[in-house]
Amino acid sequence: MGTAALSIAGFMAALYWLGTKPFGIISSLNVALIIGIGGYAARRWWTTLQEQRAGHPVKDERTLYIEGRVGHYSFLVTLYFMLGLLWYSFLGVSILGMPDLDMAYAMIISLLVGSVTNLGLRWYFGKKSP
Amino acid sequence: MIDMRTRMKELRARYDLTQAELARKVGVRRETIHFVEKGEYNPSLRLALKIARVFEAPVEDIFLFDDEELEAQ
Repeated sequence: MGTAALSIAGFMAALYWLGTKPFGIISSLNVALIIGIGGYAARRWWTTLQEQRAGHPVKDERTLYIEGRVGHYSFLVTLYFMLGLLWYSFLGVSILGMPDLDMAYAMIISLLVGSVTNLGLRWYFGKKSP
Repeated sequence: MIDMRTRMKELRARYDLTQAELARKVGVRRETIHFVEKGEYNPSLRLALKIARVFEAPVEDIFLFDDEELEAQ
């Protein structure tokens, strides 16, 4: 809740400072995203530290099993996404004359797809039975 | 597929153990005990034996097949 409130506050502050044009809105969303991810990571780190101090293991057989499945499916999703980008580059750009894809953006988007898939699957497999 | 159920909640109450305390005794996270109790996670043999040792009961007295499913088969 606190992280969400901070994200919204960050978004509003950035929007006020940068303006409401598309650049301002996108940048403000980025600010909110960075605050949200940072807040979530900090909370996870603190919770893990407390659990370790209480004598609980950070990983056990169930979490390792889930991590294995998450890694497997994240790898496949990222692989197919990057293959899709490759085909876009061959067919779309070379043959159909579609706009070229900047390599840096392609790498960043691929990393984001893999990361979001990883986080989403962690949440999903953590909630349902493996 | 035959569903399984456990008597862990009943045994925890008898031994006055919380999920966290049981988790610490057998070396797993509290969430794992929670999911095992709900029947949503099947523990490994090692974990099942550790739990049985804590409750001083045979494994088959703690983890049970759903009898209705078994009879239907």
